[in-house]
Amino acid sequence: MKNMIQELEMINEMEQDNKWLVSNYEEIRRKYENKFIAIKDKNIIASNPTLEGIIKDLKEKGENPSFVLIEFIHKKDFKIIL
Amino acid sequence: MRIYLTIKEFGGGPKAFALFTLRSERYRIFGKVEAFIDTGSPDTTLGMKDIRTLHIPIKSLPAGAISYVAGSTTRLRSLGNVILYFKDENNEPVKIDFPKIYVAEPLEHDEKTLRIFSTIPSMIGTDFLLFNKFSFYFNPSERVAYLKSLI
Repeated sequence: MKNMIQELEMINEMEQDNKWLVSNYEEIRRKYENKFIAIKDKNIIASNPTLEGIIKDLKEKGENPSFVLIEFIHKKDFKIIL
Repeated sequence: MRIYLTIKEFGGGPKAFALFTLRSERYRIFGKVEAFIDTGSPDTTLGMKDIRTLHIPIKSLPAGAISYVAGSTTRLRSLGNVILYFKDENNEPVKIDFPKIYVAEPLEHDEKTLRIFSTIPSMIGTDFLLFNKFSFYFNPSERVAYLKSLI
């Protein structure tokens, strides 16, 4: 039960941070284009051009990267066919 | 039961992302994951971002098939059984014991490939939809998407 509550809280945090990201995306793109950003509690707590770099930055700030929302901010015209 | 999805832009268009937690008892892995629903992929696969942030010991996982992701050659490796938690429309946790999830290891190591690969999110493939008997609803113009259990 304890695990389930913790995991539900984590999903709710992810949901809130994603909503914040989507509603502020254009402004975030202007500032952080071509960078990874880390979001926690609706705040950008780190940014770095590389994945390894942002993981290192988060660890230096005492954050566990497994529990933080990390996004790469692509250029507006970036397209990829999967 | 429905699991609502978050619609975000990726790769030039809207994608429907599931937000969940992943736990592997065998490899002592636990953390947050977001993965978009990719009906073009047969396998549910963790991307490089989640491989790195979850500290997945990629080289110690059994090697599987060669696969192609975004035009790049990758080797799939199986993380085996994982426990995933999602949230339903009533804010209740949904536990899914999923028998096999993959990680994609790029086999091309040039800087450009690795850089693009590091930005591709994890993907939920048709194996996940079939295993759970989920249907997938996606209406990008209304910004609504969900997985619906057929059981």
